[in-house]
Amino acid sequence: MRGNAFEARVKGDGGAELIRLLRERLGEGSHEPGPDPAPAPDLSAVGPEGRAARTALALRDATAAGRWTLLDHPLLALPVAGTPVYLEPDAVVVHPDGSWTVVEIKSFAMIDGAADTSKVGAAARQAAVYALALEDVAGRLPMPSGPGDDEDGVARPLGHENNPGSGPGAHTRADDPATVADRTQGRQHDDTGPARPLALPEDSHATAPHPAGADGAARSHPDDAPVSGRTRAARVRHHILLVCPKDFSNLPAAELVDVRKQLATTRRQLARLTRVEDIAAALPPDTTFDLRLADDGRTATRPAAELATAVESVGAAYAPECLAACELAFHCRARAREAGAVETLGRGVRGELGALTTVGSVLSAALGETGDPADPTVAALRRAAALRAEALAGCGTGPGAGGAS
Amino acid sequence: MSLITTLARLEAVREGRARPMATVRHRHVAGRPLVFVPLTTAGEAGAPLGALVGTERDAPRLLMVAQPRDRDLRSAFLAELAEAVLPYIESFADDVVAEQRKETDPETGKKVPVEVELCADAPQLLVPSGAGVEYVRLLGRSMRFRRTAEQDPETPYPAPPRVPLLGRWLTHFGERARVPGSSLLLPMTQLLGRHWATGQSNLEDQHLGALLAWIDPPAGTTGAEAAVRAELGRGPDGLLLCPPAGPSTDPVFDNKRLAPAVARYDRARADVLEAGPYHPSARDALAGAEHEIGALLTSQLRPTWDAVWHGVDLLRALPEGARVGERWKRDRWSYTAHRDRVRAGEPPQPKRDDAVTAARKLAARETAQAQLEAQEALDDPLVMAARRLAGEAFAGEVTEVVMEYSQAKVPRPRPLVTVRTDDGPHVAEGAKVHRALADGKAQSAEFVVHRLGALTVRLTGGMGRGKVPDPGSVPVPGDHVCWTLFEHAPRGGPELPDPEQTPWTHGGPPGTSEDGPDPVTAEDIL
Repeated sequence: MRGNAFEARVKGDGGAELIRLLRERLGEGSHEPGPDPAPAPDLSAVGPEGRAARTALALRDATAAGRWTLLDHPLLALPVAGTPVYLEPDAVVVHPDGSWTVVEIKSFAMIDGAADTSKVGAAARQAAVYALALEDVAGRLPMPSGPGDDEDGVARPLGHENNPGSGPGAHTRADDPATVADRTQGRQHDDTGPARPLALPEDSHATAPHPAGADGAARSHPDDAPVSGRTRAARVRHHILLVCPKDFSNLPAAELVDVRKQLATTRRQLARLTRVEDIAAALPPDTTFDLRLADDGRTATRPAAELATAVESVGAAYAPECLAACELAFHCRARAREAGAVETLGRGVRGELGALTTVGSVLSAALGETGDPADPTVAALRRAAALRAEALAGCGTGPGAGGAS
Repeated sequence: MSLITTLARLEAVREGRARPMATVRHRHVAGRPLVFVPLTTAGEAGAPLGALVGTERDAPRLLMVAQPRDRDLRSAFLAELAEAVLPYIESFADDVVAEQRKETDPETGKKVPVEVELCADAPQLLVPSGAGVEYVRLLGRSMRFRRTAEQDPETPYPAPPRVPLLGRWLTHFGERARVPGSSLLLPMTQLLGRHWATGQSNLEDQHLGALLAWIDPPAGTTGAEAAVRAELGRGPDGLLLCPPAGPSTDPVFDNKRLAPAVARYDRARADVLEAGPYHPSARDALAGAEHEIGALLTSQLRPTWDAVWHGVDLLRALPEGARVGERWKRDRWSYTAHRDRVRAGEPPQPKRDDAVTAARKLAARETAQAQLEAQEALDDPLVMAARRLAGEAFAGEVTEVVMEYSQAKVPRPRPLVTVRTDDGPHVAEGAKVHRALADGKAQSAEFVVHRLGALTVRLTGGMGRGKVPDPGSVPVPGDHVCWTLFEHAPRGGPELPDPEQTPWTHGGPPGTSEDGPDPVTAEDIL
């Protein structure tokens, strides 16, 4: 596939090209050319735990070494709903100042410096999860000794970033009814196994990369300003490097993308997730999603009906956005339609209709059969239904509706 | 989504088929549109795989790239596309009508009327979905900077003669498609979605097959069932019954059918190279392999092609809105202007607009959006209903007309009209309201008072010049009238400075540098 070939090409030569792209984007003058990039460390190990531990070690060593280092396909662990999930970013670059940049290599083209916004947004959300996992690793690295501890450039533990929206308040809202959707969403994602990248329910928009904008932001944001020598502490940069094919060629083009917003969103959503143990406790005791893979590791031997019953036992919180992200979306959609949930028509519809959550209840309220006329939603619905009926009944009169007829 | 739209979708869920969202057609549908259904190669962002194109529903022209990685075959595809599309686009260029237009005289600075050419009709491109529009833009961008051997004898990979020109036209169509209400290039999903509300979400409406299944379900099934079949149904061969509307293909098709066929084609071609071009059996094998790929692509493209024409039929059954022709005229202007730019030998559209061009485009689109919203509401009581629900218009029966006159030296009629209505418009005293008169002109009035389900407005215009209002310009009790709070012909903001006057904050006057062709590398995909 071209995508793989492109990734191999970008990372070729020990990451020299990738690091050159990153430095070009950062426009950093404070770092002299300095030593050549260190050779990419070997990250292979047995099992995901081993690989994650190996990655943490390599990150520590590279941070201490003070050289540009590329980590090719590191493995990171991130607790999701109380269960570790392993994530594999395309690459992480360690800067000589000890900061880390997540690199996301995509095969969609960046044409004249702009790429498809929805794809860039998806890449930013994906990279934000990696950055979050890296912050976890950074938080566990030993702090450098010396007086520089409380200054910028020192690793901060997870959840204490300079994002006001992600403060402790996020936890107290866990019983808000609006979180139910997210919680159950989490369930379905958990079902599909930890190897899946997280698909986040709430979209936060990333802007398409733009050289001037991304560059300027990168330089002006104090959090990402290069740290002057003294401390060499691990720090995860909040701009990720997105690498795409340039125009119609196979040459790489790179842009820094600010993922602070995506980080805040992800952090908040992870904090709201119900723990897997709690979800499991509410299910029948013998529920399992095990496919009972045959010896070849690919063929599922579990009867489909049995598996379907197990999946049925978990609630489905569906929104049309799920279709783009999740293989179980059609299953959840069928159940949501069966239940007559209004969310099948779009996330926004739910907010519009207030307490009326099913198709039947909305329609009967609109027809005046049920509902309290004092409820503003019911009143608006009846008015809408009356206006719609009037317009449809009179449509035989032809155009010129605006004028006297 | 407005509450009325939501209600229409809920009705569709209950009825099991789509419900009308418009009582008239709000977009121009040409008598002879060009339908273009492209397919792209998976994983090769932007490399064309094949297309059906044509103006006759029974005779689509199949264009294909048997081996998408082959630059020469891609070039041949683009050359063929130019051959199929350009004659259609150019066929509208010479049939012109004379139009009066005010232009600023460069010497006196006064506006003087001049007679200019306006093409009597314009081409219309129809693609299946929004992704198809983006693909047209992409094709345009990839072609317009190419150089032909005639333009630049040194170019390493010369483009076929008419390809750069097609690139400029496709770019123009793609750019025009971003203007609200324009109809030069339209995606069928958006067209249908504007006129019908389905029982599914907007996102699912992007699937042309599912959308049509809701609007016109096969006998004996509901829209929901038919839509699920269109989305998920697979035949015994594992292929989708309703292939995606493109440009991306179904991965199962790619892996199971297309990849083996392309591999056979590669082998056959290697055999021909080995055996020499005059070896009959090797040549037959190559032709056979090519034919096989063509048949496979047709199997994927034809359902979408038919679906687009099905959509055209559904749309033609709706009566055209009264102000659609006015908007189509702007599309004709747009087409005529680009025709003139091409004829004047101007360079292709730049890769990035300069500040003034970008600001102009943005302002034009904002104005077009405002005009579209106003015109759709005036053309269609169902759209007006949504505006009335939102408090932006009110309609009702005239109960009382009191003749009053202004205090000026020459008194003017300023009658007070009271309308009984259940609508609750968000108006303040003295706010301007508008209504359309029978001759299409707008009459303005001032809002006076709202009490007990009745609104009183004072007419301020549209009654002629005399002391006595023109006949028919003042409603009489019993008339049904509809007043809007929005203007009927909204205008854009103030004029922008000339390009030479661009302030430095906006990049200064545009440079003269022309965009060169893209550097060609061995791995180029388009």
